Amino acid sequence: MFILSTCSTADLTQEYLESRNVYYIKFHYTKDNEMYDDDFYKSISAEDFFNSMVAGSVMTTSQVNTWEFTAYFKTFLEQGKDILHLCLSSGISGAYNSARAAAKELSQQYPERKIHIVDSLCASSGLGLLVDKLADLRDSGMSFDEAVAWVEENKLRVHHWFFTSDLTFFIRGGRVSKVAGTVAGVLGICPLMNVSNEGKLIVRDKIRPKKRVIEEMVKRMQMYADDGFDYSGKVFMSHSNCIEDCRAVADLVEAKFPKINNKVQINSIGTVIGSHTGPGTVALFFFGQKRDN
Amino acid sequence: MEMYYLDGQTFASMVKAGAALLHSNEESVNILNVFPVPDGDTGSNMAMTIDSGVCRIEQNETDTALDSVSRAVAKGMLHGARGNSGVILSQLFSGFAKALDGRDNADARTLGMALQNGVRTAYDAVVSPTEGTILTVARESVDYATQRITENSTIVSFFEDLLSEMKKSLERTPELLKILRDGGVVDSGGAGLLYIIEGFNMVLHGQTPENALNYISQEKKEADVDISSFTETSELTYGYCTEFLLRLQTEKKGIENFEISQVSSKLQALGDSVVCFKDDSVLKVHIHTKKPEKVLEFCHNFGEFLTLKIENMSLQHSQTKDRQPKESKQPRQKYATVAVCSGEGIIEVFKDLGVNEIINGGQTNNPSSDDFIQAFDRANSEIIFVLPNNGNIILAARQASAMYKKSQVVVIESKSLGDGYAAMSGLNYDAGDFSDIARSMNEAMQRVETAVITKAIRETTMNNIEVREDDYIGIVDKQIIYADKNPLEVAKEVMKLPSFQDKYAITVFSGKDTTDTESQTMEQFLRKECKDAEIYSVNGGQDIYRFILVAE
Repeated sequence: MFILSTCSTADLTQEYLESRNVYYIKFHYTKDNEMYDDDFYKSISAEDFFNSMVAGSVMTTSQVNTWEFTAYFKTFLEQGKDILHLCLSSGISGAYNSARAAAKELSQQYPERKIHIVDSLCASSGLGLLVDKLADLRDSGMSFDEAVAWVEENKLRVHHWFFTSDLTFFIRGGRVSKVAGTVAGVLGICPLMNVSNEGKLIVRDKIRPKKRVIEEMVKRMQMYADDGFDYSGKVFMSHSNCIEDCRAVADLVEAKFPKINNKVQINSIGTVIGSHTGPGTVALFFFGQKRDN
Repeated sequence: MEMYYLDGQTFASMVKAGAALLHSNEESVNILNVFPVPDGDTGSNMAMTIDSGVCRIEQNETDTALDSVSRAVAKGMLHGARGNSGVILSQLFSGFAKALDGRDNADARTLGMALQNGVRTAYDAVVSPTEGTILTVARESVDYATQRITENSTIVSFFEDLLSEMKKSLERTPELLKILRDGGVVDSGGAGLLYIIEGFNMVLHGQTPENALNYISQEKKEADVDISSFTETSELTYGYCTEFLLRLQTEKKGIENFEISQVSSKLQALGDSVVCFKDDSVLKVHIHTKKPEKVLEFCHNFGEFLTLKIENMSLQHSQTKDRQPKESKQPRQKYATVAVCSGEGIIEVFKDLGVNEIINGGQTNNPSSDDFIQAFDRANSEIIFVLPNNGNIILAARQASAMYKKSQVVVIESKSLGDGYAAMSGLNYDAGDFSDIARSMNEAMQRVETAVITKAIRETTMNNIEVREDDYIGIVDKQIIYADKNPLEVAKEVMKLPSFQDKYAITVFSGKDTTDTESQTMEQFLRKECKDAEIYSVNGGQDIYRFILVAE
């Protein structure tokens, strides 16, 4: 059986990944000039992490470099395993390029092994949702080549909708352009964003106040999810230190989409994605038609 | 002598007199406001609009053909149009001028047809014309005067008919429009038009409105002068245009002994283009002279100056409309937004929400079409979204956008501050093409309700609501909702309206005259009263309105 691998930025818990037999490479963040692993909040709690951001700690992230990917992949190849790695969207990170460079080098060293890097065009628990699905397919006996074909064909079916009630860090990081500035920041405007078919963050709407953007996000799910209100797949969510807002969306989703597979699965936005979003971001992920813009 | 034909020179005098008469009655038109709130400015808007027309004739004084004079008036007015009544007025004159094309003069029948074309043009400019307004007053009086035309009609009889029916039509406006009836007033735009036509008639009867003496069009006063056109080596070819008003003083030569002919002949010796006349104790002098000091010294013997203007005629006057837009250092943008608003805090919020160019204005200060055009130039963008933010400014915005060729201008018809605030809050240039962006702004406006709370300056009864002086009144959609000594009670009643139910957010803009305590009390009150809504408080700094409540 092949190795199913992803990035720590899939924003699932370490336990969940291990339970699904999915391997991961840890990303890093730098806080006040000190580098730390994106370790599923084992070494710092989510609350402490985001509170220190609010208090003024400057978080930066740097992509995992080729050398790290090479070392990571090598352990599996040496065990004689093939690797299918789902990488964080190239639209928001350079990790895909590093991973691909590593894979290219390794495929010369291990010509008998298969290694495929997927530019997932997904992020956070959206990447998590894709990996989770692939774990199901692998467990049902899908071959490496079939899995590669499936993921390339279906990766754009993962929809990412998210909003933030705190624009500070989106503006600071330049991740959100042409969005309300300082004064307007306190006037309750919540940008509603998604991830485009190029894997980039796009502001789709700006809505006031939070209560309305929560309703709007659920409306978008109805518009885009497979079978609308009859959606029967899994729903993942992630949030950055705002469990109440996240719970409000999850409750609404569970009420409006009674057929979803299990309950909405809620995760924390990890330190790396969180370094860019700051606190106050709620994200919703589900399967639907291929994203076309 | 009977006058059967109207020529350009007479028409020019008529327009000036009409403008002058409207100016001296500007305030009485302004207070024809259905609300007991000092925010009416129809009189000022119309006066400034016709001013721009007068300004064009003043620049163009040699041309005496009726068509070129009326074309100049119309052109000036189209650019200077402010407020809905101003825009309608400019369209009246524009249609009138078009119909006179190619005519040096016109008889009553031709004038009647031209005025009818003016009325049609004005109606066409308004998307859904309301009867009981300036439109009705213009249409009914023009129809009446045209029907009365016979072979014996003179220009005087035609304008007399026009004026007499216009008075009656104006009196009838409250029958047609409930809001006027409730407010106990006649239509302000119609009243403004009546003053203009009265001014016309005065000229035809050989009279001049009192203030025609010191009447200088507003725009002329504000004209920019390019001083670089007269350099260290320039020669004084044309002399100085010298104009002043002088109050004859009893202690000097005395009013009784003052001989206008003496003064006039002395002035003729000092320069040319002399205009000199006396009205009671005021002497008006206009002269082109190379030695203004001699003129002043001579006239100073008779009295003291009231106003004085001396301008080097070699200098180029650049009227606002002809001014070249400043070379923009910014590269041309794909999109930009222009919004009309006023109040320091409100302007800051709109800028922060992404407005590129602010036109300072609002209910009591309607910008002209030209103000819009200049803002469009500054915005320097392929597509420009415009937020008039006031029902009375939409027409001027539309007129300006129709006149503007350098960009595609999309007027987002925001009728209130709340509309504009919601539209800007939802503005997202990444939303798609310009129609998608406009649609999302329009959608954001759909769910907005705006109420203003302000103090009444007089008693009135409207909508069966008794308003005492100094009461706070709440106005929503041009209706008084409630009046009370306590603004919180007014806010409470506003929030009970069906249209204000199920709102998620209320933004409160406090006015210039609102104290911090009042703002805080209102904010706390709303927090308690509207538990399901988020309350945002902004120090808007607007005039007149103590609170603007925007519910979404």
